[in-house]
Amino acid sequence: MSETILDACCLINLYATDAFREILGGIGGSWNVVRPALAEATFLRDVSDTGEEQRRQIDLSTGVSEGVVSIVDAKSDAELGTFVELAAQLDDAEALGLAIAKHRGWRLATDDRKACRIARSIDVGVVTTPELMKAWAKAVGVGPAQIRATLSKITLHARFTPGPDFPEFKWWQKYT
Amino acid sequence: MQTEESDPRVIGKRLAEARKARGLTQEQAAEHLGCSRPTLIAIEKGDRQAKAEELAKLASHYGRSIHEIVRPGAQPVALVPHLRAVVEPTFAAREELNDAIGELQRFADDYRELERIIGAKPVGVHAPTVLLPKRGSLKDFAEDVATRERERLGLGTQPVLHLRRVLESELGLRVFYWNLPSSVAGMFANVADLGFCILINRKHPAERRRATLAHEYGHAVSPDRHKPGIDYLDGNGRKPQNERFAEAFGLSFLMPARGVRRKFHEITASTGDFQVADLCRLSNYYFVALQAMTLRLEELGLVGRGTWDMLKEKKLRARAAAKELGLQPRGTRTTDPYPERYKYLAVQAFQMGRISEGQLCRFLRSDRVTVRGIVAQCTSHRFVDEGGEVREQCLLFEDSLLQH
Repeated sequence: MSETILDACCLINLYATDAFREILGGIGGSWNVVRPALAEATFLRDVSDTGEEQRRQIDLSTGVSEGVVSIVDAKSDAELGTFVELAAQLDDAEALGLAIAKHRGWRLATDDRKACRIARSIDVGVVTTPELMKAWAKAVGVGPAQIRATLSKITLHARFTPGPDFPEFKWWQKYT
Repeated sequence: MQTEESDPRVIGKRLAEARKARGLTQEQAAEHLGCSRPTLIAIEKGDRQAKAEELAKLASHYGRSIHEIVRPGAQPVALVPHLRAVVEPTFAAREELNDAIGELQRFADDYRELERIIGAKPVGVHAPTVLLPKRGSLKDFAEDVATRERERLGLGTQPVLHLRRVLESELGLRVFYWNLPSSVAGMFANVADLGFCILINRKHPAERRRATLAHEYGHAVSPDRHKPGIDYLDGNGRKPQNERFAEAFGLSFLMPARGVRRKFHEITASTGDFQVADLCRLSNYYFVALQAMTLRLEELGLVGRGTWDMLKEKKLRARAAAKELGLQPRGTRTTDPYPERYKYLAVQAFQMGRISEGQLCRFLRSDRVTVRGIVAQCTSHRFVDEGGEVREQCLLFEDSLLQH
């Protein structure tokens, strides 16, 4: 069964769908997160009918207690050493997630250009939000209307839109 | 994965600065780490490379991320000890002030780091210094210097509504806004390889912030430019000459004598009077506090001495008066913690893939979703197409316009 570490970018995007549990469950595999990434996933944006923007707190405690995502930490000197080395180039949450992924042979879910580049340079597999959404739609057999509604929530609440250089950019564009 | 930041001397220096900013002694830090003081000294000097576990433990104890300690770049600027040395010994809110000093140091380090990442050359301070006179009126001298500065910047006698932007882009000053104890208006320090850095109390109203900024500008052109300083709202007793100069310079710069006199005469010529409403309009026009405007008119002999005291006694409320007169706020009232150039450097570094989203959040002191909004705001522009439709276009900072 595949193991994935979600970094803060993807975590926020998935939470913005209001179908966090359904999406991760639908794709299958095990999902993990490091504490600093949880701490960075703080707010989403809500927009009222009058166009006023408000912040909505992200609460992942239920997802954690129900085992949708597991909290992991560095558990060996090797992981800690790699974490500190990577922290020179990335923030702590990104560096720790990547270090653990590297040593445990897991993949990293991130949309960050720099994190992707460094992950590939140390042979860690990367998956992005558009790829995760496409995998979910395919696995569960989600219809176009629901896909469209879910992707628009990511754009609205997490302010995320993939760039043209993202994998599955064309798939995403089809629904937005 | 060895990188230049692995230099143990730089890491040691950052650890030492972080420890001092936290107010901890070497003994206390060594005890927390479970090592001897000489071992900690060796780590801070860079004679002994800290192990990953030790770095994690120390960073957490100092309230810093590991990234802050081990990231690439030069040694940290040593602002903390210099600014702490000028804190008034009896100052009550010392802890809050120390936090702000630490924040100014972090901003200065981050600014230098962004310039390094982008390869941008630091902007020098383009303000000539003056020698303060030993004889004659200091106020008149400050007025002359302020007039010269206005002429040099091509500002004429108009109000300077976007003061922060002018000081940042035309003079190369680095202006930051952060929380300071209420009785502190601002602070300044000259940082090697970066220039004149100013921290303004963002808790104060916009008009007060502008007055402080203009005051700090006065320090930037005075001979004490190279010494750090903290400006309190109410200094006890007679202030030193450099403070009196900065104060007079700031007021003259914001409210130039020639311009104020002309406006005053325009009003009195057309109405035959100068009423409280006119005073409110004038303070709104120059984007200064009512008190500052009144005292300036007193100083220029346009209204009688004691006018402000009389208005104070009558409990004139500036905000209520402005509302009643329908005066719209002027100029920029935003309190972005960092200069515009700093923000654009950070967004550019992110767009180029040189910093991650997490690093961008740290540079911009904000959460992920807010930061995504800042990126979108900086990199998109709206235009009206030929069919009259409003469209939005995304700009890529790294696109060359010369090699097009």
